[in-house]
Amino acid sequence: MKNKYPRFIAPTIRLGLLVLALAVPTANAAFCSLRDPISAIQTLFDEDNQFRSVVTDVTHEDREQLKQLLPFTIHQSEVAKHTLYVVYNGETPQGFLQARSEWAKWGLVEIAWGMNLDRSVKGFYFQRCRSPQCNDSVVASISKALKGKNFSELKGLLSEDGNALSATGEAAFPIAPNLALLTLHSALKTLAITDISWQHEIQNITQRD
Amino acid sequence: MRFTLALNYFILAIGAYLISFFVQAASQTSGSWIDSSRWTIDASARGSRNTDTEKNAQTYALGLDFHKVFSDDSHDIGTLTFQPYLVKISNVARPPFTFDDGDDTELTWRIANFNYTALAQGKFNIRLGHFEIPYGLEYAEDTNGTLRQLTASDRGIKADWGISLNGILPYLEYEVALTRGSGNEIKSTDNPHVFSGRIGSPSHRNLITGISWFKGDVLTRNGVVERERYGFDVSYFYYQWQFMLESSLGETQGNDTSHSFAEIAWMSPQEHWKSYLQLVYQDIDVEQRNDFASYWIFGLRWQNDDGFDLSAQFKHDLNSASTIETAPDLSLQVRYRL
Repeated sequence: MKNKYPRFIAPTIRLGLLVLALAVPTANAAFCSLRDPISAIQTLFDEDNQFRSVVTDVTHEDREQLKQLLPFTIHQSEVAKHTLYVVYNGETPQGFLQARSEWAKWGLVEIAWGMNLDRSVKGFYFQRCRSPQCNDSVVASISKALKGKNFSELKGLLSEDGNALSATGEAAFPIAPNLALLTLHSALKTLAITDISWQHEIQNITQRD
Repeated sequence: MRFTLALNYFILAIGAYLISFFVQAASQTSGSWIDSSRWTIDASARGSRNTDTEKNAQTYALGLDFHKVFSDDSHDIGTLTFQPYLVKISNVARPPFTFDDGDDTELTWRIANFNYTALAQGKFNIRLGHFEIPYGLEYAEDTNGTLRQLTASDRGIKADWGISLNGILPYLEYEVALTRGSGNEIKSTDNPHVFSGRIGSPSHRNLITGISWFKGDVLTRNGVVERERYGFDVSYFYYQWQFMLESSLGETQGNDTSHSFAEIAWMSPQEHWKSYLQLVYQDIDVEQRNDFASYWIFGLRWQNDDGFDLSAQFKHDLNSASTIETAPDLSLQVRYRL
């Protein structure tokens, strides 16, 4: 009797079951697609600054610790390896840069955050934002409200449950409030997770400075 | 085949050792290989069915995906990307010439290169090893190991051994490469070579454009094929939609040829689902007649947050020609990055 299914179906299913049995969560994208945020570093810092990558594991414990500081935390899929870029002028540290992803209604938004050595916001840069709303004038307006602020000052722009802007926040972001809220979430997570997950590295750099 | 496999392993071991030696020597902080590195195991099984001949073929791949950044006290020195894959094919009608026949197992290289980045803060880097030929839409899109492919088949080669200059400037991104023209293995038969490059606008924008060139002799199972292409590409992103177009003119063995590719893709907000529709048109002037072929491809991909990925693709010929290889095809793939 002729088999009505193509021959490859059975081995494909067998391999699928095998890899499922061996499953440990990991990232989908191949590592050859990883790109350093060169444009962001050139824009947010001096063009001639160089940088050093520090890769670390952002752990479940880090994710839980972040929950103590904010009414939300990073996504489960972000428990993985991440890179903090330490920016230098010669041998002197100038600040940090980290790219983080945030979910919008239309998909992933990737924002590169430039941080001063005291982990206040130096600036941000949309590395990926598929909405036409992410234009230069909106970026300038949001940036004006965030620049120079530290974690607790940024938190003051957010409502207590974290789902909306506070009265101060509404006043600070006169245009594109939804995009501003998304950007604010990203800023708070970035500053907090930088201090939590790269604590040792940051201590070494700031003590040396 | 065993000798080739052994030679590949030997090259792999020597390459890894030399890169390790030079970089550790250059690095003032003698960190271990684990520092600033990522690695994962990548396994996949693919089945394809030629819907004309009703013949089925299978491809199984098991590989390592390793990525490491080497740094000193105040700057990055370079990035090593290392992706050897053991690939078993079964009942494949037209296997890549790396394989002895349609039922074979080989060690293959997706990407295996070191990009030296210490010269000018990412503006001017030197890449050495096995990397994707810089041309057109393939330059920005990662399609390694996926059913979804773009335009590499028109040039007959996707990745190659060689050297490239690459970088990101405030208003443009570029890569210019001189490669061996032999694809997976470094072979000297008939002295193949490829000179290629792409210069494009910044890839973080929603509208990206680029121009590319490709000129050289590409090694195939039947010797080298002379190919020359000049093309432009454009990508536009609008919320969950992606529109891409690439068009090129050139010559194959001295015969004028043109190739056009268009794709419209949609992704779900959480990016677990992706669907795409591609339209491809190509023609070639052979012995004072014009042969042309066209086809469309529809694909669907589902992936979860844990590295599991299922995809399906259907290719349908609109017009076929004897001098242009196309075949209607139904493919399924399951993939897991452990």
